[in-house]
Amino acid sequence: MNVPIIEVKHLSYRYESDVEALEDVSFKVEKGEYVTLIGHNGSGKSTLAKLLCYLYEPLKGEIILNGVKESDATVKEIRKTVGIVFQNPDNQFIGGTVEDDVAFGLENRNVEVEKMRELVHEYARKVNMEHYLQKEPSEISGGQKQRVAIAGILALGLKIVIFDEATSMLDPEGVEDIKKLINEMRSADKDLTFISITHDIEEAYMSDRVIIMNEHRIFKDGAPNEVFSNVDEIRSIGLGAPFILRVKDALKKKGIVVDDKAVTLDSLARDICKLK
Amino acid sequence: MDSRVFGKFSNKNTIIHKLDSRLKIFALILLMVIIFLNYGDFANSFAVLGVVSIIIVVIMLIGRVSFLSFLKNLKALWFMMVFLMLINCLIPYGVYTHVMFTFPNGFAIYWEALFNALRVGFRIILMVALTMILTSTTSPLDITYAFEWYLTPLKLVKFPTQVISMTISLALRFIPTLLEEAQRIMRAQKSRGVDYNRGIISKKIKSITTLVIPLLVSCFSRSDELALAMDARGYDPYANRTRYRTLNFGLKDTLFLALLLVISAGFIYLSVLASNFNINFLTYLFKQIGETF
Amino acid sequence: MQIEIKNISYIYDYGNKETYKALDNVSFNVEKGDFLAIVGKTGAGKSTLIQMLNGLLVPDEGEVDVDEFVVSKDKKKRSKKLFLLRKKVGMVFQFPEYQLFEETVLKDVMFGPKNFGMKDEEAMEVAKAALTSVHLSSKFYDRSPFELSGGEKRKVAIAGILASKPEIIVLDEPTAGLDPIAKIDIMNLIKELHDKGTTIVLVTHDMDVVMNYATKVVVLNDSKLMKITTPSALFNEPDVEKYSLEIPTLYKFKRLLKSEGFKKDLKAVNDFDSLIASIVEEKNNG
Repeated sequence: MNVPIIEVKHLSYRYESDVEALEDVSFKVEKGEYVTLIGHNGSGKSTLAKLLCYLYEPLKGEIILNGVKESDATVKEIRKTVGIVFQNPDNQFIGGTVEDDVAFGLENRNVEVEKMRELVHEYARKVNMEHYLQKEPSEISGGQKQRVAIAGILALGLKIVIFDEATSMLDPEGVEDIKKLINEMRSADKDLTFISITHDIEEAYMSDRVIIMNEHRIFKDGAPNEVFSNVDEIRSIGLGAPFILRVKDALKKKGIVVDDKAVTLDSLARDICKLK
Repeated sequence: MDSRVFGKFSNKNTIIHKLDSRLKIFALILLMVIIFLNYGDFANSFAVLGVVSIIIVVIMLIGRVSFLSFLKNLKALWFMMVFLMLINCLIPYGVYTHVMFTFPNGFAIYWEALFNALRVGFRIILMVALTMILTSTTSPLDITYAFEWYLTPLKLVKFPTQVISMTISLALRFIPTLLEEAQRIMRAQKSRGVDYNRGIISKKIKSITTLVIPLLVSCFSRSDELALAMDARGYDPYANRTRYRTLNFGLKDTLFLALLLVISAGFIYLSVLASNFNINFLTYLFKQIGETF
Repeated sequence: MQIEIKNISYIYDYGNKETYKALDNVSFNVEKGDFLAIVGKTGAGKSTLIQMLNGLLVPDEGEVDVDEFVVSKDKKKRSKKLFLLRKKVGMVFQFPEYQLFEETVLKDVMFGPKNFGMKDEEAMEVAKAALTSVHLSSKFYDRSPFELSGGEKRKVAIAGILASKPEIIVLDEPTAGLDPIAKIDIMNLIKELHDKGTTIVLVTHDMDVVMNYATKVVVLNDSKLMKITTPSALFNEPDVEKYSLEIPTLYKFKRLLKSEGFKKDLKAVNDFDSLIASIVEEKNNG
């Protein structure tokens, strides 16, 4: 039996201003899963991401990361396990140049200079930024900055990567870019666990598992087809459903039933045309 | 607003660029001292400053420092220079005897005052040139690391030099970003009817607040996010960290240092000579050349 | 014609002989009451273009006429009081929240009108009306803008522009960074303004927004004007991708249906409900 790489047990959190953020959240994540976390702004998703990284301390409950319980004593372990890419490309870019930024995490880990140079070059190449090593952040685009952030995380060999709306400030080209990069990362390392906080319903539909947050609690947790099966329910909490499911649902209401197995646009189109 | 103009670092492949940044800072300070030493009379001073100028021009050529940027820098300072020179002209310093001309009300302008003013101007120009050489051949990060190195003795009294260094590096990294943000804010406020150029003082102050307040607020929220990001990447300001950028003092640095010390020693000697004996360097030099031939 | 853009070009000069032509001989017109979307990938010239609509930038070549105002490099042609153009053309930039600076929400919204000459009492009235139109109640008047949530801040910023009662509103990515509900909220607000007669010019990357709200679309690519057309005509084009644009999922699906042998003509299908209706019709007739 696989020990889950993340175990969250009855997690609660409240901000100083007494603003509620999370209420009794529990779930498990297996190694290699691609989990998407969706929910309206204020539902607690971002807070959850920061708690997973132990950037905040839980009020109640616990988080077990790769078998290690998160606490002040285990911070070093946590930093070796999980990394996070935030929404604003500028506010997480610390180095004066691309190579300095990729090296930042390595410096914090006391990696020696020679090894650092190797790693910086290797991972800059993996994210296609090897020709930009000496560029300053003001000379590169948002998408490129996010790629640099990812390189920094990969260079540290982390096992869990969290994306906190990492593409919401990018233009469509940048978004495509990052999506492609994530796919490459996943094929290169099947053990890499991804948690993506997103508003992109279509992305959620293509992931392994969807957790829907609503009003500081988990509303639904499961495979995309399960979670989105009731389109009206999804709408009632203010979210949109994936296009494919909306089509199937609308047709069902008019008496036309389409094969449940269709999960892509082309297979849906095919199934609809076959119906006649 | 292009920050490129005022002596910003441009990554070229010259010897000057490759010199250790600690050495360059030392050279800057030493040469500034040389420029401000007393060499006796005016003729000597201008002669020495002339030689220093030649040295600086040579360094600028080797380091491919942009003369155009240098002139632009001077243009920005012209007001201050003229002001200083005027003060020196009008307010006597020391014993002046040679009158240039007298105003109708009896106020006299002396030749010495004029020469003094010119000397001040000359020195300022050379200082600007020296500073420009440093900033255009050395990346801000390397300058920051050099300062941190110079502050190392403070570590003995538990002064957090690496924290200061990280703070400065972060500030430098954000200058272009904040400049861009300032421009965006101004555009938005202009669209709301703000005119940054015209208006009485009270209006201008209000206009500035429409820029400064949003910028400050955004700086605070940026620093919150930055702190989280740094924490998430394992940053501990007081722990030991390795450094990706290293400062290497090599052979060319040793040679440059030797050359620098020799030249400086020479100038210091001249200064000592001048203050103890009443020599005029140029006449002495010509006499020597005359005697050899 | 409310806005006439006549052969404008713009070049950014970075010094060291580095230049970038952001706009190359672009011409088009905007009628009063249009809901115009300007699309194109990043760098196509959209942001540069809109800054000329309220005189923040002046074209290097050509001119922009907005009713009686002329924005031109030629000092003889250029309107003397270009400053007033900014009252007529309200500009909402991307992430407008960062322009908030006053102590209270009400004061901030009053700022624009006061700059354009209104007295305090009148400015307060229009500010309150503007806040109402963005669905912010009187509870918000005395709060500090910096305490509000991101979505609320954005609405305050928009109210600040609306308070001066502009005839034309230009928005650069008004839905950037918002969650889906907030996006719909803002877009409905803009639609309301449009229904009341305001001309809307909207720069966006979101093709769903273009599909659902715009009546006209201008496509820029590589600093040039590619096309001016309606959203449905644009998305029905077989090779829209040549403009470096993503097409809305609905249109992707239409193409797939066609290629899988769907018989009914889907050209007129431009929204979700008509799509479903067409599929049902086809099934019942098949």
